[in-house]
Amino acid sequence: MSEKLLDVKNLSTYFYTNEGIVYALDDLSFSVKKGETLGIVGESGSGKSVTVLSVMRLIQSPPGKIVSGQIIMNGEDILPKSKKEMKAIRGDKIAMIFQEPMTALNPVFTIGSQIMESLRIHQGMSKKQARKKAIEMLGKVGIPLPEKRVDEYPHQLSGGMRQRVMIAIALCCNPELLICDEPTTALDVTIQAQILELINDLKKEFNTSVLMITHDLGVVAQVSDNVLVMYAGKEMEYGSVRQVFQKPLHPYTRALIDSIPTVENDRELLHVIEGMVPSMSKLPGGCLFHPRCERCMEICKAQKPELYHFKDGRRVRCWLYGKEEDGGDSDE
Amino acid sequence: MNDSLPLLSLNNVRKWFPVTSSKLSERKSYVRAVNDVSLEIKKGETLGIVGESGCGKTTLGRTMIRMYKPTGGQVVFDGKDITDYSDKQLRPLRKHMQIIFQDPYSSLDPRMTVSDIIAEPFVFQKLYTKAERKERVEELMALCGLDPIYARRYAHEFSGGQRQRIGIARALALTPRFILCDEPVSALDVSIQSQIINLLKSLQEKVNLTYAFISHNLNVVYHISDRIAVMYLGYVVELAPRKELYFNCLHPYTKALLKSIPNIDFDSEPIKAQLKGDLPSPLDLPEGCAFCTRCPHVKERCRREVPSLREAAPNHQVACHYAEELG
Amino acid sequence: MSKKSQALPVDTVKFSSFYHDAFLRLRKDKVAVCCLAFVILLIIVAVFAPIIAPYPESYQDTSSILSGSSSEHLLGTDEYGRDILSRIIYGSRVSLMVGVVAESIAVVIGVTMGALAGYYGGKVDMVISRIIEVFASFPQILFAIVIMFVLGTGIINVFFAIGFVGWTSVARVIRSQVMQLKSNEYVEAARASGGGNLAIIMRHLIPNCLSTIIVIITMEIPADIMYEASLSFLGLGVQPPQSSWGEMINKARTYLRANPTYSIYPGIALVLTVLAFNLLGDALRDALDPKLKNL
Repeated sequence: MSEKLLDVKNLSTYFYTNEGIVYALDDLSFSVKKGETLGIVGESGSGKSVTVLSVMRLIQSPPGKIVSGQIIMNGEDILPKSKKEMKAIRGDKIAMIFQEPMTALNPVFTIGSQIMESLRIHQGMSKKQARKKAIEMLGKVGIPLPEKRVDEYPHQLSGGMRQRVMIAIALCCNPELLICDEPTTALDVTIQAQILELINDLKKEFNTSVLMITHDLGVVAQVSDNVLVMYAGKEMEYGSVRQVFQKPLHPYTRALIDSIPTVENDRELLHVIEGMVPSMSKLPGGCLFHPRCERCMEICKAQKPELYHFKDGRRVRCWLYGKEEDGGDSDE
Repeated sequence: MNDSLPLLSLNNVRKWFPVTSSKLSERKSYVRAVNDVSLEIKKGETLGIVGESGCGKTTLGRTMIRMYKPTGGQVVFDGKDITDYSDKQLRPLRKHMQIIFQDPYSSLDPRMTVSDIIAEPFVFQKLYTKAERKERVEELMALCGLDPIYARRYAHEFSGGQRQRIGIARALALTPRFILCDEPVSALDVSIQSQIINLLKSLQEKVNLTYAFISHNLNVVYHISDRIAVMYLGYVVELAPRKELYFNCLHPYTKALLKSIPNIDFDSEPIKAQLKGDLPSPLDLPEGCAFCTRCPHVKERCRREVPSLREAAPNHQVACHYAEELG
Repeated sequence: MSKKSQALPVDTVKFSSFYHDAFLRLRKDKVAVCCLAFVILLIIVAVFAPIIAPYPESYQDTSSILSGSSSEHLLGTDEYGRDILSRIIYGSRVSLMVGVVAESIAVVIGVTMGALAGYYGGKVDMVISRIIEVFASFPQILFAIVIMFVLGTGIINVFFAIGFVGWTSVARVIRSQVMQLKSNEYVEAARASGGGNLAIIMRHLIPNCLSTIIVIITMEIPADIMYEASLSFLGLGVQPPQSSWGEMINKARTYLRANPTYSIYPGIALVLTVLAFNLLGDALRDALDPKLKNL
């Protein structure tokens, strides 16, 4: 049992807008151990992107605000850290790759200089050293002829290549935690396979923990050890990928898995989750999922379920569970 | 139920876009978006068209419904050769061929109400009185799962899935016979995708529609299509009924594509990249098979000769010189 | 068909059009609200000038020539004994009319040229862009003067001169907007339903440029007012006894020693109006920018 690298406790992030307060994240807790890959799955409005932006302390304030909680990295709470201290951490200890490589890379700088920037700032390398390392990183991420391409600009590369460059920038300072926010959503499926394989190989080589945000269950299954299912800003289910996908507990997780067309899941009409994701400023009372839940009970409409912890580490937030026979205990 | 004559047939269709060069004297080069495509779509059928970016599926779709004019080849709709039709001649045909777009945001005019959007085709085709239009709009909304009381709302007040329903209602307004579905669920949340796919399926029966369904998502295409065409760099490389394609695919590209789909089946192998490198530029296609630069089984003949789409198994067409050996 | 999928999210029960949202945003900006109030006040003053002004426009009180503020003449009198306050009030009519009429002419020409250039592209764009460049390269005031010489003096001709010269900025902006907008899928959808080019331009492209047009108008009106003031200052605009702020400032030059405030008050009116329109235009641009929605 390796130690926890990242321990997020009771994180709440709200956005104060004209239309009211948006409860983007409500009392979220999760942890990532050293060398572990945690997948966070959710649809739009689930709060998954806000989660990682909160961890990186990149929430735009105003209108957003991390109202409460702790983000403990290596035993230290980084929430009270100053902007200057956070700058030192970002890129060095925690790195992030984004969905759209074209907008995340600066079009007026060469890809080499963008990698070098991180190396020079965080590791104090000289230009020469940094360039050497940059070429090495480009090679590691599978870009052919890195000595030549190091001086190319982002627009000269394809989408898959650009994503590799982003990975190179992220990993060049050997961060402890790599956050990937929908890194392959904008990519073709064959390129996605290349990138996922690359992430899997590199995380072993660099011994990095990974936080993978995605809406694609297949991607999570391929890359992650554990998975956290989010809905409307709250955790709905947590467990190992095998547990959660083979035997989903929460009706939302189950419905999500059922509604995805696959070759195996071949029926006339797909399973449908009725209704829509609720607007974050007008959340339903009781369990957030109850208006769309097939197994909604009276209590679901009235009271919010707490997170229930099973003895084997699984967690679920649903009134269907929480009895002593299940062998676990619930939150306070 | 299905007539024997195809509703839409394409014969050796080609669509190339000239690249405007700044120098006046430079030799013209073309983006070869669609190359030598021949296929048929039968009445009541759903033809799935899959491929990754740059494969030409979007261009093929637009050319099919004559939103683009083919650079070469023939497009025949319901027995009529519409390849060279002018805009004027095409206008009455627009009633029969419609399109559903990918982006629920840019496909609806933000300044128009829902009923204006859905009724616009009536305006263009000069159909119905005002009262009739109102009634028809309400019918269409109900058909697509939208409550007609929201007819005077603006598009931005609706979610992505509902906006897509508005787009579908608009496409149905002129009671078309054929609808080109251009990645209609790709921009939607996973839980909404299934709603829209089910809607499209049920509409097909109710209103007697024929679909061409373009997508990069193989699972979605598998679910909704009868037959599937796989495209690569403007060529159709494989065309077969869906089960045949998935369980018995013959083209190396199709195989790589299917193996690349990340799945949640824990008993299968972990994901491995099936193809190395990137797509060649459509400005500069290889002389022979378009896939020769990345094919794991490439041979000399592949580099020299473009393979034609031929029947390698009953009702199963492949564009590969060595399909039988590799299968 | 399930009822649940038809339900809109709870927070869209209230009416929400794009302009309504924009208005709400505008309301929050205090400066903008002041400017809007000023503009409305100006309009009221201009419309009800005969009622509001203490004296008729050309009434000459020969007993007080070039006098300063007094209880009878709040802002003093000019060289003919005409009440300055009244003439400023009547002058507001000219300024506003210049703004409205000249801008309308500019907008009609500019939107047409810009939309055609942006939509058709290619040779059409090339020709129209060259025309725009030719017109825009003239110093506008000079051009207006030339037109006035050709057409003759008088306020109607001023409208044409200014409108005809000011359309280029409208055209340029509309052209680039239309070029962006035409790649939207709703344009393709319109074509797929059998819509012709003109119908698409009129139904989709120009209405979506409306907020841009509103902002341009608001920003260009001060410039137009200044041109009119300049033209009248040069003696080419309004003719006596009609008053305009520019005309008054012109005449006041000669009498700076005798009654310095004669030129100051119309000047203040001019400055305030130009400022109000400029600031309002700025605020409108922000309010109408859909990217700022909800924040």
